[in-house]
Amino acid sequence: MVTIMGTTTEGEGGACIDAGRLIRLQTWLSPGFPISSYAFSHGLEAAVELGWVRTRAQLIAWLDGVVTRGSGRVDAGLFAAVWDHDLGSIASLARAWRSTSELAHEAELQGDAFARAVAAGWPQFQPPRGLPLPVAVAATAKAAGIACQPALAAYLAAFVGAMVSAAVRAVPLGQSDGVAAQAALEPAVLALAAAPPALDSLGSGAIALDFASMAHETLSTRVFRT
Amino acid sequence: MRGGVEIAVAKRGSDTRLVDQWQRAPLRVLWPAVPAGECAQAVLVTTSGGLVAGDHLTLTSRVAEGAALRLGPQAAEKVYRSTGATTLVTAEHHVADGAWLEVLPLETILFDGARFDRRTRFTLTGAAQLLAGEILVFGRLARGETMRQGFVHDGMTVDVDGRLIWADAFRADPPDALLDAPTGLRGGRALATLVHRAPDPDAALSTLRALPAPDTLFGATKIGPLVIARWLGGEAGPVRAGFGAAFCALRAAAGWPDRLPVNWSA
Repeated sequence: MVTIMGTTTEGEGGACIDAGRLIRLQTWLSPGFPISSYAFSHGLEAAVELGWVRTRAQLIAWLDGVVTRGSGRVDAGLFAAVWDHDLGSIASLARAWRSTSELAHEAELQGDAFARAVAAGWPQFQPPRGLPLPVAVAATAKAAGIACQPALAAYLAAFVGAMVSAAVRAVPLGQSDGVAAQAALEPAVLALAAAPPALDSLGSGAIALDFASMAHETLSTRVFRT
Repeated sequence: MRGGVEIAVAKRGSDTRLVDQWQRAPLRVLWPAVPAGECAQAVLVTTSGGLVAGDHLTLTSRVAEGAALRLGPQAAEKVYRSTGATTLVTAEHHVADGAWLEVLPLETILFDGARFDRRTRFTLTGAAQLLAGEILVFGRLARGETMRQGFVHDGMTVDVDGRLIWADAFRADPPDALLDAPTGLRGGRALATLVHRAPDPDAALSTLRALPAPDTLFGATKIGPLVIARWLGGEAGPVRAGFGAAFCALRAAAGWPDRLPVNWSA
């Protein structure tokens, strides 16, 4: 069996994942997996419209805040909780833990599409329908025998990737700016995957993300659904 | 100090009456006379003049079927600098079918170095209505102080008929990382959040979006049967004004007088 070091952060050991599990994670979290990730910007379209994200540096700072102190952190806590809590209770919590109408729709529509897609290819791992995306992915990864840390790292990297892709189109920025932003977020992604928050400390300080998402609901011209 | 207030109100004839009350210093509750046509009013007083590290306050209210209550503090709440321990505030509000609860806040002023953890839970039954919110101010802004060090966790959950509808928490650990951050407060120093459950949330959302909110960043959204709104500003005044105007408009839409108590207009 080929074993590849997964999400190693300096001095933390990291987690190992075998090649069979690795390629499944890669497939499930690829931008080509049919969950319409291209249609959602997670508030970035409005952030661009408000003039908050216009440059590579601003994009990196925005993404870092979303991942480290915003919805990335909240979703990481919910994602990790799937490994040691009852799935039904985490699903209820995750459905309620949405700061705006559009961010709720984004997580629910993609979660449901994710469950349908997994059912088509890997029925043995399919999660229940109606789970928000982070919980649907976590439930599937857990069923497939994947450890939390590499699954969460891959999930967060895909979350960053979807926002980068939206920003590259919405600002617009060059592909190299997008790639640089993706690379710049690696430490934040790995640190959060190594130490996701406990459920009683879920919370967000990324209040500007909430304002951007609320503003998106009333934007007159919108390319993205969120 | 471990203080607390527990109150229960019920409908008696056409009025709402206090049916049970417990209080422990430094929290006290006062029941001022209210004008005709107003709901019952419970005013919370912190007799210690502010909250210090290690204080744990609990607040429980029960509003029985058809009753109507306004609950709010007498003055803005100060949370002093901590040398280590955290101030805990745990609030639970139970609102029965056909009842009305409004929780009208004044500012919670967080001194630099304060450690403040508040958990608020609303449990609603049937057609219970709720109008509530919080206003956080990060530092004694008038004297040029900003809350850079310390900790804030201000969490809120809403259950309707035993189902969790909304969970949210503003969390700053420490605030310094958020105050000027592009996804954080973007230079804002006061943040208000309003939560409302009305019979027609779409109408409430339209009402909110039609209100002016000068000198603040304002947004509103709808989560199931709830409407949520937020204001962020560099000073407390405009945030409080925006929040107050929205509170008045929503209570008017619910059939209550379009006004706020005297301690609010100061």
